[in-house]
Amino acid sequence: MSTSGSKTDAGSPAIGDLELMRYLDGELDDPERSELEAELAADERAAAKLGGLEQLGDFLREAVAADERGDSIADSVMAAIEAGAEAGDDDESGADVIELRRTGEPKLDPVDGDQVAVDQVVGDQVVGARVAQPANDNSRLIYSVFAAAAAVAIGLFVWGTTGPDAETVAMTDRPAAATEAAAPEASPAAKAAEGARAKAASEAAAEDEDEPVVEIAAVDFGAQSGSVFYVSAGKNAAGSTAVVWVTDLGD
Amino acid sequence: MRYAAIIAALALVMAATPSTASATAPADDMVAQPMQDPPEQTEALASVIVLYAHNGGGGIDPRIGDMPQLKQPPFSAYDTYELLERADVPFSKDKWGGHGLPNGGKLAFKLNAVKDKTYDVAAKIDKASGKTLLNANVKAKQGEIFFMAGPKYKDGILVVGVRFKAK
Repeated sequence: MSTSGSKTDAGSPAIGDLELMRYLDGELDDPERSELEAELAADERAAAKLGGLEQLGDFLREAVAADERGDSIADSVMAAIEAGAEAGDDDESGADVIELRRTGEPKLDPVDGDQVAVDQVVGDQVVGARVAQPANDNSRLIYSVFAAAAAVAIGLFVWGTTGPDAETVAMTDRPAAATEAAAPEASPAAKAAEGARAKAASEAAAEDEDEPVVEIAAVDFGAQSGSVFYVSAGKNAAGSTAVVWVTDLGD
Repeated sequence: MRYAAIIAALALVMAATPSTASATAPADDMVAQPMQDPPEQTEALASVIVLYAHNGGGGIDPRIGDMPQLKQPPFSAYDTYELLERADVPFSKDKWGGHGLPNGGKLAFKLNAVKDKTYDVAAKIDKASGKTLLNANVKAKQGEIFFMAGPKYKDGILVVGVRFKAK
């Protein structure tokens, strides 16, 4: 018994946890078990540890058993649901394998026929499965998303029909009175587009301020010499002033 | 709930319908009601101011008005600017519009095009002898002044300020 245990006292081998667990699990052969029991009789600390391990094992076994009970309940419910579905299919085909019968009023409102409480009878045994709408049904979420999509679609439809019309009113050559009458009916989208155009125009005008307002695209001084200048037009004027300056050398 | 799904599906179909229709509708509108360009401008007017620049110590003639360019180079090479005349010179696409200068030369314009109130104009100054002193192609926004300077006149030169406008 000197494999993998923890050493408590220097020089004296103690009973290891592994040996204790193997002992509890019944994995020790007879000579080893006899030897261990002899050592346990002499080692109170090892005996106390063994008792603790036994209690821990019992606790774990109870927990596992409880979990298995939960699984078995879920399994039975699912089996009953599947059996009910199979029974429905068989009813359509005329087979008479599983009988379903209603047992009074359902607790949930059977709007679409999918919330029906039934007791399932398999042979002489009533299983009592209740086929109702599950608590985590996603249909409401799906319908909500669908409704939101519909609202967006309707909004796009309305915007698509009113926006271009307002644009057309602004661009066609109608009499002034007609244009003025149609202007208040322009949609917010049309107004936003108008604002964007005005902004672009103002930005273009701002860019123009730095450019000469007069461009000398080409100049020919012939036999004379000359230059082209751009002179500031002053603080109150936009752009610069072009000057074509020729040196008149005479005939 | 099923009715809601049906309504939603119909709404989606309705939303998809105008997008496909609008792909063709603008083209039809363009054909039915095309944007009409304003009539082409074939005539224009050049408002001309003729100055005599020299170094006579006279300063800038108050009749010239506010013209800060004259205080800057290269105009500042002369300390005196006298107003000789103001004139409106009509010109068109078909023919040159001319105006005689005090030195016997001739100032002339011919319209190339007008777009967005920008005048594309051929401008030239001929000497009294008939030789061309300068020939320029100018693109000027309506009402914006530019200068042509240099023809000899007395002890100085002529400076011609030009603004284009509709006739």
